[in-house]
This record gives sequence, C-alpha cells and structure tokens, in this order.
Amino acid sequence: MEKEDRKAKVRIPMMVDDARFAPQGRSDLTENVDIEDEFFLDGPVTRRVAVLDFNPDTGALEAGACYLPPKPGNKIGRYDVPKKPDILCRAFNQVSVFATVFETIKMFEKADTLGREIRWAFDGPQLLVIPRAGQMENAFYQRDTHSLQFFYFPGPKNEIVYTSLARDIVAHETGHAILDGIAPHLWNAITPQSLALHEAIGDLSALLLSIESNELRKAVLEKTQGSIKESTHFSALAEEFGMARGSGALRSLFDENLTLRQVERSDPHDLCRVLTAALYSVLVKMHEDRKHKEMDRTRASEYSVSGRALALAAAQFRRMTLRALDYLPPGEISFADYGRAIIAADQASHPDDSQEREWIVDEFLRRGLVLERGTLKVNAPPKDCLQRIDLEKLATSDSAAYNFANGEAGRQLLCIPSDTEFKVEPRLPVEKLYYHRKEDGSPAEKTVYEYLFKVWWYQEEENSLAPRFPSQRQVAAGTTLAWDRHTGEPRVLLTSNRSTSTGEEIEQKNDRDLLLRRLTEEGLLQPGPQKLGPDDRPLRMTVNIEGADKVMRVANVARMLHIMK
Amino acid sequence: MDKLRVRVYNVRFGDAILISLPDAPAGRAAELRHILIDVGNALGTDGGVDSVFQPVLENVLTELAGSPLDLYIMTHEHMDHVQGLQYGEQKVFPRKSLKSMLRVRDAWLTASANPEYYKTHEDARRKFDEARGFLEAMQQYLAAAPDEKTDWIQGLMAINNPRSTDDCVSYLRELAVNTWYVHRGSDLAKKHPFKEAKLEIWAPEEDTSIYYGRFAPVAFGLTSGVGKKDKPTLTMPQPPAGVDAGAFYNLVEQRRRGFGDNLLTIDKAANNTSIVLCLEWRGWKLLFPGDAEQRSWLEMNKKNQLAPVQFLKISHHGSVTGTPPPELLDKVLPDDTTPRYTVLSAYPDLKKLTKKEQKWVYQGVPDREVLVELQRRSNLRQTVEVPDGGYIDYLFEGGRRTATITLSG
Repeated sequence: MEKEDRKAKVRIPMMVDDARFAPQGRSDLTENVDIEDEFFLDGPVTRRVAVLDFNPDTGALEAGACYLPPKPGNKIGRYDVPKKPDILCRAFNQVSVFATVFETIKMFEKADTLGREIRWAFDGPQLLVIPRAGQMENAFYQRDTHSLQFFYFPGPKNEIVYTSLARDIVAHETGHAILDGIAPHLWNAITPQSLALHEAIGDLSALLLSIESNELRKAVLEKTQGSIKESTHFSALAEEFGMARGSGALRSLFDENLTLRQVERSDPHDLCRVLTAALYSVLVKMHEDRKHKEMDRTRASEYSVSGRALALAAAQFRRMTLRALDYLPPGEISFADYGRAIIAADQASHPDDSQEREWIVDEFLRRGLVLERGTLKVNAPPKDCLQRIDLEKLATSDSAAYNFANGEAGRQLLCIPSDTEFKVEPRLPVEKLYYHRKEDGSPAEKTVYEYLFKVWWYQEEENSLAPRFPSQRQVAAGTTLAWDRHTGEPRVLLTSNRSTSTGEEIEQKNDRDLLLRRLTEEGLLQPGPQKLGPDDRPLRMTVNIEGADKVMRVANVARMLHIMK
Repeated sequence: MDKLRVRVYNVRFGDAILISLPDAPAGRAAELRHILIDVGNALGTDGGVDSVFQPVLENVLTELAGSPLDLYIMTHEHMDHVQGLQYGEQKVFPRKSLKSMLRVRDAWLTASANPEYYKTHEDARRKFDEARGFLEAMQQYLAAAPDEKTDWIQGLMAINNPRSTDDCVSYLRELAVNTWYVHRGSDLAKKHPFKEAKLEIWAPEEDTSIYYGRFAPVAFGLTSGVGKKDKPTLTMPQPPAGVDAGAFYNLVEQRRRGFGDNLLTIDKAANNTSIVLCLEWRGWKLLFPGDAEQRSWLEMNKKNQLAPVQFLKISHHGSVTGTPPPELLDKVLPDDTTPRYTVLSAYPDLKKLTKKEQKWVYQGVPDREVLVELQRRSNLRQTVEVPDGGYIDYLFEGGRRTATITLSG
C-alpha cells in the first residue's frame, strides 16, 4: 500500500466459477479483473505470487503466459491469452489461477477488511502456484514448499477436471495459505476446532470470492429469484469437483439444522461444517435484512434489490468474519475464540449497531458452538492499561515489547502465566477503513490506524493418549492486544489462555485427546522423534512429534488436511 | 502323535510354518492333520537365498509321509510369503511335481487374491491401481536415479514386485483341490476338514481399501529415453525469471519426495491383508497373524477379536509397525503368570551385527525394543537360532500349561 505509486497493473481473465458454469446457460465463462503488484513477468510471476506450470508427465517447466506490458499511453498491461477464453489453453489456465489467487489475497487485504498486506507463514516472498500438480482428486496448500498445488482428474465423460480452474477450490486453498500467515499456530494445532477453523476460512474465502463476482451473483439470484435462503451455487463448494466424482458438492454451507452435537468432535471437516453453516445462516439473515431496507428505501421489487443487498451484506459479513482473524489470539483456539474475535471486530467497526452480533451469538448458541451467551461476551480492555507506556517504542523495539510483557502488570494484562517463557511477535501496523453513519444518518468513512501486539507461550497439559506416549504435552496459547496508533487507546484484548474458564478448557482438552487418538489409530502419529523413510529422509505423510521425552509437542497436523477428506 | 506340533522353519527372511495335530471327531479316533502356512523369503538380499527351500520342502513332504496336506494358507501376497512353493515346483522338484506330492485338499488365500476381487470391490480396486501405477513409476525413477536405491528401497521393491508376486499367486491358486478366498467373517464350514480343532479368522476385513491410508502425491519428473532401451532421465527444471530460486529447487525436490511414504503405504497395505489365523486345540490358543501390521491389529481390536493366546508367531518379523501397540499387546500377550511362547522369523541375527549394520540391514527389523518387550512377556525364539532350512518345534499337549521346544541341529 505504501508502494502504491510504484505498482504495475494488468487486466486479466479469471474463471467466474468453474467449467460447469457455461453449460448452465451463461455465455461468459470468465470475467476480467485488475491486479497490481511491483512487477509482472511471464508466468505470471510477480513479487508475491508465481505460477509454475510443470508438465505433469515429464516435470519440465512449461512456458508461462507471456506478459504484455502496457502499450504507450496506457497504464494497464495484460497477458497473452486468447481473446475468446479457452479453458484448455495452458496460458489461460496459468493466468486464471493466478488471478483467482490474487483476487483472494486482495479480498483479505481490502482497507475495510485486514487493512494491511498479508504475510506468508514461510520464509520467502512468493506463493508458488502449481496449476497441474498431477493426477489426483485433490488440491492443497503446503507450507514447507511455499506452494498451492492443484491436481486434475478424469471426469465421468473422460473430460479432464482441473481443480485450478475452479474458482472456489482455488480461493479455498489460497484461504489456507493466507490464514497460515495470519495465525501460524493453527498449522500445528491439535485442537480439532482450531483445525476446523482452517477449513472454515478456506470455505468462507471461496464463498466471499464467489459473491464478489457480479456475473455469478446475477446468475445465482436470477435462478433463485433473489434469495440465498435455500441451497444455492454459493453454498455449494467444489460442485464440479464433487459431481465429477459422482457425488454432489464437496461441501454445502447451507444446513439450517446442523449442530455440534450431530457431528464427530474429533473431525475438523465435520466441525467446519457446523461453523460454516452457522455463519452462512447469519449471511442469509443479513441479506434478507438488507433487502428489506433497500426495498423500503427504493420501493423496488425484492428481486431487483437482491443483487445490491447481497453485495452489501457480503461486504459486512467479510468485515466481521475475516477482519476477526487479526484479532484472534495466538495459539490453539476454539470456536468460542473465533466468535469473540468476530464480536470484537464488529464491536470496533459498528459499536452502535449490535444486530449482526446478536445473530452471530444466536447462531453460535443454537448450533452448540458455545453453551451460553456469556461465552461470547467481549469485554473492552482496561482503558488505562497502556497509560504511561511509550507505544511507539513498544511497536518498534523488540526489547521494549518484551519488557512490557514481562513486567508484573504486563503478564497480568496479557494473561501470561508466571514463570513461563513467552515470545512476542513483531508488531503489525494496520490501516482499517470503517463505515459508520453520521448523526444526520448520512454514511461516512473513517480510517483507524492500529497496532497489533501478539504474545504467545506453551502450556503443558496431561497427555493421556497411551502409555507409550509422553505423559505431558505442550499446547500453544497467547494473547492479542490492539491499540489505536493515534489515540493510544486499547481497542481489543483477547486471549486463548483458558485457565480462568475451566469448562471451556476441559472441553477443548477432551477434543484434543480424541483427535490424537484418531491420528494414532490411523498410524499418522507415532511416539518418538520423526521417523525416516526408506530413502533416509523424514516421512512426509505423518504428523511430527517434537520436544523432549517427557513432554510431547505435535506439529504439522494441518498438513494432513486437504480439501478432500 | 498325541500332541500339536508347530514347526517353524528357518527360511531366512520369510515364513514357512507346518502345523501337525491329531484331530479327533467326537467319539472317533484322531487323524493326524497338517496345515502349511506360507513358504517364502525376501528377494534381492541375503535374506532371500532360495537354496533354503529344498531342505524345508523335503522335510514337509517327509512329515506328510504320503498323506495329503489338509490345508495350505497363503497369508498375503508378498514375495517373502508366497515364493517358496513355486520355486520348489520349478527348481527343487522339476521332474516330480511338488503339487502332486503335496496333494493339497483345501487352500485359503487372502480374499483380495481372488482374481475376481477387484471387480466387485471398487474402493479397493482404486487403491490397488494407484499402488501398481506408483510402483511402475518408481521403477522408472530408480532407473533414472540409481543413487536413490537404498537397501531398504530395494527390499521393498522386491517384496512388492507385482509381476513376480502375480506368478507365485497364480501357482498357489491352482495348488489345491479347493481354493478358498477368505477374510474375517467368511463361513469356514466345509472349507477345511478339521473337526476337533477350531479355526477362526481374525483378519483381514473383506474391504482391503481400509488398509491403504493416503498416498502422498509424488511428481518424479522423468524424461523418457528416445529408444525403447534408453533409460529415462531426471528432468532438472530451472527457475524462471523473478522466481525465488531457493524455494523453486526445494519445491522440485519435495515434489519428488513422498515416494518413501508411498512404498511403506503399499507394503503395509499388503501386509495388512494377511490372514490372521487363530487355532484352538485342547485348551491351547495359537495365533498366526502373517505380517499383519498395526492398522490390522487396531481393526481386530475394534471388532473385539483380540484375546490372550499362548503361542504367537510374531507379525512382520518383529518390526515396530507390525507389533501391536502395548495396549493391544496386553490383550494378546498379557503380562501374567501363564507361560506364553513367541517365535520370530527374521534374518540375519541382530547379535552378530555391528550397530551400524543393525541399523541398515533390513531396516532394523526386528526392532530391538520390540524384542525386549516380547522377551518380557513370553519365551521368545528366533528362527536364526537354527541353521538355514532347520526348524524350531513347539509341542503342545492337551491339558498342560507348558509346551516343549526343540531346535533342529
């Protein structure tokens, strides 16, 4: 954002949905989007994303789509793809997957969402995108190779289904990569709800990116006469993928009756279904509410206002669900933690309008994601907690940040257990756009400059897995503190240290036991250090155990989570 | 003969077990009956020396003394379990037919060895096809990258070699008068002649897809040779302009990796299709699990099959993954006062190797900690205690708590 003036721009096509979209009667399979980055090269390759189109048979790198710089007098470049979209054209696939990844990134970075440039969880500048990783019914994000890998497979009529051409699958996997940068502890989490959040953010990324498409919004609402109350194209994820495998969509976000009690508590995919169903219900309510407001305002028909209402509702929904991610406390988190982060984000942006927050609380309660309303109550941090502290120094100096957290008052504020070593993450400056209404009711915008301060540590708990495993295990916990850079006032304080909430802690610990037992039964978790394979290299399809003999720490659990079960 | 005898042969790294027992139908005189389990050893290594089969097969025939072999059991389709009889047919008794000398009445082959199996078990077929496809690609990769060929990889490729396994299994399908493909839950009535002895199958499950787990995606990146005989070569792509070179090379390398996981997955899946036979006779309970690995043990536990036994043929040559985890081992070999016997077929003798050799020869199989645990719970013997082709005999007498063990010279 600060480098705005040095950015180059391209206009490129991306898939509106997937290859099934056209046969549904729509003529436009693609739409054009504008992408900005510091530079564009053949591939596409930019500072932050690089498409690498390996030939799946030989492993050779195919030529990337050719970058065509702006013509003289023009500021927008493009890539050399046929004017009439051809989904079997290599260049089109390369450009479309690139555009979809970048659009997902842009969606998170919007001023009214995170308000900052996202960072990757890995040590490197670029997310590598492989549009044809091989033949398999799968697609995944892999932290250790900095990559998104999209596979392809033959469909029922022997047509090739490229997952890299499905907008929702690409957005889902990009969502994993983005969330990994925001909340890296979730990658190593053993709390099923933490892993489920990874899946859920993938699903929400897919949903929100679909709704951002004017073309798709128009098509879906035309079909449903302006409603998303029933199962629609938006709520059905990886529909083409699922149908090619002879089933329905891989996941449906629409399920009015699903509750936590009906699913396997140790299965992150099952848990994700409950969370996304709850959130989708809130989106439906927001859409209905917006429609009625628009109808009152314009006296137009329900159908004619439904598109704008959906765009507005989805934007607010995005502000609540994705902005919340920056407020998540580090460490292993529960749905209640995420719920509190949503409430905190919305409270900060719409302090006087609590309707949507009420809907969130209602849905979390109805679905059994929390057991009582009070669980989602977010208390404002003590107003005076940052008084007499040099906040600029706190933001820029690691030693000042450490000393602040390590003092008696700091530990108490940040819920750091005494005698526990902790780590302070680099502080994040963010610049968020807030919408509100002036006293006269007219809309207004306000930019809030925030610092995010995150501190985390390991807590030990009993590991009653089996006698052959260490008797204790480590679980990461932490606290997020946000303050206004201009006023110095604390805005948010959320912790995943549940020592004061024993009921929640016991529930999460029991769920961790269930997950670890399951991983053990599947042979994915073995005691002792990481095992070497027959090639004398660490095995890749196992969950790592790190740490000393008496205390176990599990890593890379999320690596095992793919879009396909 | 009024005792049940389990004769465990030293065929180096493999299994060959002859069970002989008096089987008395109610109120009638006992008949001496025989069960032969497997006969094979690992190829491509010292543990796979074929010459051991001659004395073993001659001894089996001597013990049969012209009587037919009542039951032959092929636990699973791995070369170290299936190779011996076909070798005997072709190399040891080329003039007289081994098949006609053995005169096998009934043969039990693991369910998935049925040529029709994959036509009716779609999930298993998909996994099986994936496994075969991977093994073919792996062959090509090893041709292009011979430095990758560790002893362990070589052993796994030999044991899981689809072509040679198919040949051996084809021979075994034609071995008996009646060939049965069995799994847990198969109706065993009329599939064997035993009246007094009780035979029970604890595993495998009929649907073998459950034993596969996940395959790691592997992109070997091979360029084919021009001519048919030309070896493929490894493709070495270069990072394009603007791409982080370190990340690029790491990605290319990591996309090749994962084959180690897949080799083990395929090997384990086949091991887990092992027929696990429980034999009860006059108060004795004996268990022959082939090479069942932990996935199969967990499944047996889920199905409430596990129960204490007095004799256990150690599964999968004493590997960590082949031995039930302690909480399940407690169910099979409880740490109590009952005398229990275990026997292990592995090669070579760990005690004769240096620590470095122990690490690499057969990938530390048997595992030292497994040996210690088994010794704590049972009287453990290893086939390497007798010479090649020799045997360890266990004699079980009805009504007694202890067995007699003898070792051949």
